[in-house]
Amino acid sequence: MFTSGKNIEDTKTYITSNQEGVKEEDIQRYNNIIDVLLAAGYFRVRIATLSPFDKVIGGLCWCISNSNVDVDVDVGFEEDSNIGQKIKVSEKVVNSLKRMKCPNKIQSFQIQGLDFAAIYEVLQWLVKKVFETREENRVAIKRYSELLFGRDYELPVDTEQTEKFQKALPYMNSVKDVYKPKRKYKRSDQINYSEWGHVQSVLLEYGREYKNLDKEQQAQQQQQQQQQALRRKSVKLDQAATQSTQLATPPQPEIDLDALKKNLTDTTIELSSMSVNKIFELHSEAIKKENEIYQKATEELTEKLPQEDVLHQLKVTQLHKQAQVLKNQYKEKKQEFEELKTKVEASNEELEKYRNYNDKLQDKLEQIAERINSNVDKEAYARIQKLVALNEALKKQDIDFRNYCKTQMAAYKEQTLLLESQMNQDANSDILSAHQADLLRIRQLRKLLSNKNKQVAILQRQLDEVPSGPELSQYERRFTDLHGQLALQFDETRKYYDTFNTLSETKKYLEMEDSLLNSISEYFQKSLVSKAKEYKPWMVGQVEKSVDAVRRNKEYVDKKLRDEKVKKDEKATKHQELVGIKRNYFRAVKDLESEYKKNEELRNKAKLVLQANK
Amino acid sequence: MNSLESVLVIEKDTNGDVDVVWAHPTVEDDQKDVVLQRFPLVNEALLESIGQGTNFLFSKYKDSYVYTFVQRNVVTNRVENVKVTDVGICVLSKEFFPEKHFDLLKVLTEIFISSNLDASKVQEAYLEVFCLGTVGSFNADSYDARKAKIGDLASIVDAFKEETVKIWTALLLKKRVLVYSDDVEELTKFVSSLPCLVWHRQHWDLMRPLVNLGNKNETTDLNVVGTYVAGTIDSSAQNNTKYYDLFLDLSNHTVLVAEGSTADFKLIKFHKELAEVLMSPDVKGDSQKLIRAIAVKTKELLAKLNTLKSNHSDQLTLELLENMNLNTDTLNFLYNTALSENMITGA
Repeated sequence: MFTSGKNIEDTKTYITSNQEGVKEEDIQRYNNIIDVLLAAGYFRVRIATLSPFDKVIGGLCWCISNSNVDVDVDVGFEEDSNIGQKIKVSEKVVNSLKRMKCPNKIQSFQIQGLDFAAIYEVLQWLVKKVFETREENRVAIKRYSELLFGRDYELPVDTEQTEKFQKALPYMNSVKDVYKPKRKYKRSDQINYSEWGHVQSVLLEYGREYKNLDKEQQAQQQQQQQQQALRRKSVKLDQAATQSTQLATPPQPEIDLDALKKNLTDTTIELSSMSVNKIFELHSEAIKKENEIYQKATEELTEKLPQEDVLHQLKVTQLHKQAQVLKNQYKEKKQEFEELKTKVEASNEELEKYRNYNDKLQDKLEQIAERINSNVDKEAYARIQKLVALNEALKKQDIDFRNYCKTQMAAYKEQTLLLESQMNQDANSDILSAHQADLLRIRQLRKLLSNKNKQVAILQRQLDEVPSGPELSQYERRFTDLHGQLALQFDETRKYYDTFNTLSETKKYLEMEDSLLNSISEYFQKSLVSKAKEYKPWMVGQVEKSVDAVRRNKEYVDKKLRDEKVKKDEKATKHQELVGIKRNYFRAVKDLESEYKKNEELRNKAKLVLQANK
Repeated sequence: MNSLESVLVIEKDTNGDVDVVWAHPTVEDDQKDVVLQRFPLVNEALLESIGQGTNFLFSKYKDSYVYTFVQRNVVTNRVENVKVTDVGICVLSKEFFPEKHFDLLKVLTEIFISSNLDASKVQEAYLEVFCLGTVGSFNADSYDARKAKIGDLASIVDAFKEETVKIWTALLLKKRVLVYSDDVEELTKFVSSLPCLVWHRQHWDLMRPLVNLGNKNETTDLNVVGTYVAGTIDSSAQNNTKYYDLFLDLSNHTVLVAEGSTADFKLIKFHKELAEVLMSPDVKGDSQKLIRAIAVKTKELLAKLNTLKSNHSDQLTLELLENMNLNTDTLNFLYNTALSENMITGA
């Protein structure tokens, strides 16, 4: 399919020159068609030697066949076919397109005549269809390809995996088999049991005994467990086996499990009879003994009814225990009794002793009394007896009292010493130390207090520097007052200045006048005196000059006066305006006040009304 | 009067200290402690219950009877004793005769106060009484000793009616009885009358008219004696079941049997007969007659036991009683009675 070695560019089959007298547009369209076909996967268009019709028709057929639609058409293509054949082929293609239900209508002569425009539209639709079918069949095709691959070849990864499986498989099986029920015995003969018996025999083969619970109660089961406990001590092997497969539970007379068991042989052992015999010979005696024990145990147990036996035993043990406890108590009590008895005996002995002593004394007294009676006056004797007794008692009292006083004295002295020492200690050390401590504390506290006071004073002063509201308003008032005063002073001084200036000017003018008049008078006097005609005109000239000067001054001063007046007028008008504004302002304030009052009144009214409404 | 053992002079001063300032001839520390504990000015509970009127108390400790007399708010004009506020004199004696000792104490206190609290005068007076039997207006011979023994049984029977039988049982079987009352006088009188119920024994030692169960000396004394009739003003004593087998509450007239001893207090036919005797109208109100009647009845019981004993060659054992086929309560009662009367012989 591919032209190897050559550059892709070269193998491009674009028509660059007019081959069959086609237009530029057609060429373009044709190139488009080729692109589309290439993109779809029809590589035959690459082959340069094929005619455009070949490529086009080939492309269409390829797309149709790849669209997986059953068109049931047989297209035969020949190179260099004439128009009629080409028409036929084109007709077949058109028919199949119709079958495919292509929306774009095309006719056979268009294909044959290479009407690229129509062909292009059809081709677009076809290519779309091709992609859709590919999408649908992708997965199936892939698997099919894998299957084909797998028939003949195998990837190395897969071979490794299969080997691993092979190795792991026996282990998996063994793990699964751990908890599988294992068959232990095998039935040697074929006895026909009932269904239940059959079931039991099968279960026995697997090593489990299962009882019918309808006929037994749970209490019995417990007893059986106790029996097991008893039996486990006496159960021995009854098989000629080295393995110790224990019987799960002992046999019951329900169904003759013994009989069942006898029919079982251990499937785990695969010994020959020879080896079995050997084992027998070696352990025959031991086995016999154990067998005997076991049989005895089974006999004993199967004789009596199991329930009563165990109960009875329990009771017996309980009673034994109680008896033991009571015996212990009895022993203890007996011991106590024995002790008390010995004590009583001892005290009795003492009593006996005293009694004997007493008797002796009595005898002696009697003897003395007899002697006395014979000799002495009874009354006096009685009195003497009393007095002697009294004397003895008083003597004893005396001794006791003295001793008591001594002990009391010693005790009191001790106490006083103790108290005094305590007092001394307390008086001096405690009080002084407390005093010292208190003094120190006072000093410290005073220091703290003074510090605090300083801080307080500083802060107080700082606070005082800040003026409060009323102070500020006071200041303001004072400032305005001062300002007013200053203004007054200022005006006054200005007025003074002005008067001074004017007065100094008048003084100047008066001096000038004075000088003039003096000069005039001088010259006049001189002129009178000298009668020279020079002075007169000179004087006249002088006077005229001075008159001009004065006139000029006067004009100048008048001008000034006029200016000042103008200024004054201006200021007056301004003043009038400002006064007018001030008046307006006051009026506005008054209006505002009245409005406020009205507002207040209305508000109060509204409140009243609201309250009345509530 | 040689039943007197000792005399103690007790003072209370302005600091609130109460102490034995003088004793003659001697007094043991535990006796001193007990006397002070039972002194009204030390024991506030006693002070409350004694009221303001009475100032005489009697009780028993170990083998001696303790008679205490208190004189309050003593005024003297002796400078050294200006700090003394109250005075008490206590006499320890082997004889039980409250009235006699009361008069004696009054006289002694008189002497003490009039001598400006000079204890040596008390000592003199005490010795006088001890030797001669008289001091001042007191004369020991004018008192009939037998009178002391006849307690006021009639009031007991009136108070407890049929329950008196239980008390009698307790005393007969040598059990421990604890009596409670708010009023000390009533209490001590009651307790001192109780031994009359078992007149045939003449056993006056077991009475303990006033006991402070909180005091170790006193409880040791009780434990040593074993069987007693004790009185207390402590209302919580009822909870102290290790000190009694039978508890009497005088204010409620109730009898309470401790749990451990209920078996011994089961009443039998004999008790009913005794109850009838006690309640019969001809003995009502007369203590002497009551005592006699009870004594007679007790003697009947003891006579029965005695005949039984003599019938079996002076042997009286438990088996013998068991063989008589009595019911268990009667058997128990008879056996215990015989035991307490020391009639049981053999193991």
